[in-house]
Amino acid sequence: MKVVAVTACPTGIAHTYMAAEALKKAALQLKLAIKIETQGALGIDNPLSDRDIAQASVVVIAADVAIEHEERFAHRPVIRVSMQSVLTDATAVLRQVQHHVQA
Amino acid sequence: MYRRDITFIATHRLSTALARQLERITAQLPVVLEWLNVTRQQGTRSCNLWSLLSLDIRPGDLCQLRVSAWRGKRSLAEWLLVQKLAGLGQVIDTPDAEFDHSFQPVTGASEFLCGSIASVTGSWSKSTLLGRLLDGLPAEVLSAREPCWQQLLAREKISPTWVCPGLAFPHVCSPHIHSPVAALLACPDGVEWGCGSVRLVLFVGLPADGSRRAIQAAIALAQSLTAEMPLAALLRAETMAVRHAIIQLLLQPRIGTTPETPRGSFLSAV
Repeated sequence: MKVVAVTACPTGIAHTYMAAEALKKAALQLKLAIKIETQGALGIDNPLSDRDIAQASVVVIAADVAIEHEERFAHRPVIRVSMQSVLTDATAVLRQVQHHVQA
Repeated sequence: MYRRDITFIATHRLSTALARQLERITAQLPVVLEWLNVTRQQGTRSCNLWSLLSLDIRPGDLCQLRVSAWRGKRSLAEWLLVQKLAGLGQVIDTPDAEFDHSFQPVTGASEFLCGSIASVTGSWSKSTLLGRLLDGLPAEVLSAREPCWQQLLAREKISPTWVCPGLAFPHVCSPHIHSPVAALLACPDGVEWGCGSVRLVLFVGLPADGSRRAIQAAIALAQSLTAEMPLAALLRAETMAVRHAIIQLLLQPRIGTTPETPRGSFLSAV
């Protein structure tokens, strides 16, 4: 299963990158392929291409603010999660995502 | 159960000979030990030779040793270990009363000032504690407290900057902050942060027009707080001097993060 994710937070210097880091580690643990775009104070990093989005089974948006270019995901299954849930237990979040996709 | 966390900066490499001595001593002590090499993200609960060597302790590494012992057994064990560690590095043992809390430039990430604010005890709300934190920043760093405080409160309203039980990480980019700053505030009685209680507050402030380097250092610090080892070391730290040393380390780029994802590709486990 391939997952693409976008993380964003109000200030863009901490939780955006903490959530990305937590999702990366959780995905490695669950043996999921993941690509994460961060939208923070350094701008958009590791941007998701049309191909990435097309290949992915699901799009995870972990953000406490509106993200940029959300229209890219209009025809893909999108799961929104809070930053707090990712920071508290990213593995549980990705497990729920897996169940959602497999259901 | 008695617990003591000894933090030291290695001045020597952990040689096979010293590891063997430590293995021999600890085998005879009625203690449980846990080693962390915070710099290299290595840890072990075992004290056999190979586990100790796998810590890969080199000069300059920040390391922590947790000693757990039954009361009454602690003195000899602790004394012996501290004696042995003296051959490996410099134990950070400055008590809070003697620690220089002033804000100093961080080595290697020189744009950042890092300091601490004297611990607060008693009952505090999150908002008053954030105000207290801003009051403790040097005047050359923060020129207007009120708008910065309001900004912090607004940020907390969107979602609490709670990281894990015990630690909060409030942060702000503000035109009223004139130098990148990291500040530590301990509140041993605990303060409710919205998702749980915290005993340590790590504040990061950046100027609104902060440099890329300063932002990268703040991001490196934030990322490292998702890694088990630096976080454990920070939460276990017994004194402000130790917490200060850990934050200085974490403000260096790429400590405690997962390998960089190759650009344009999916990261996947093999």
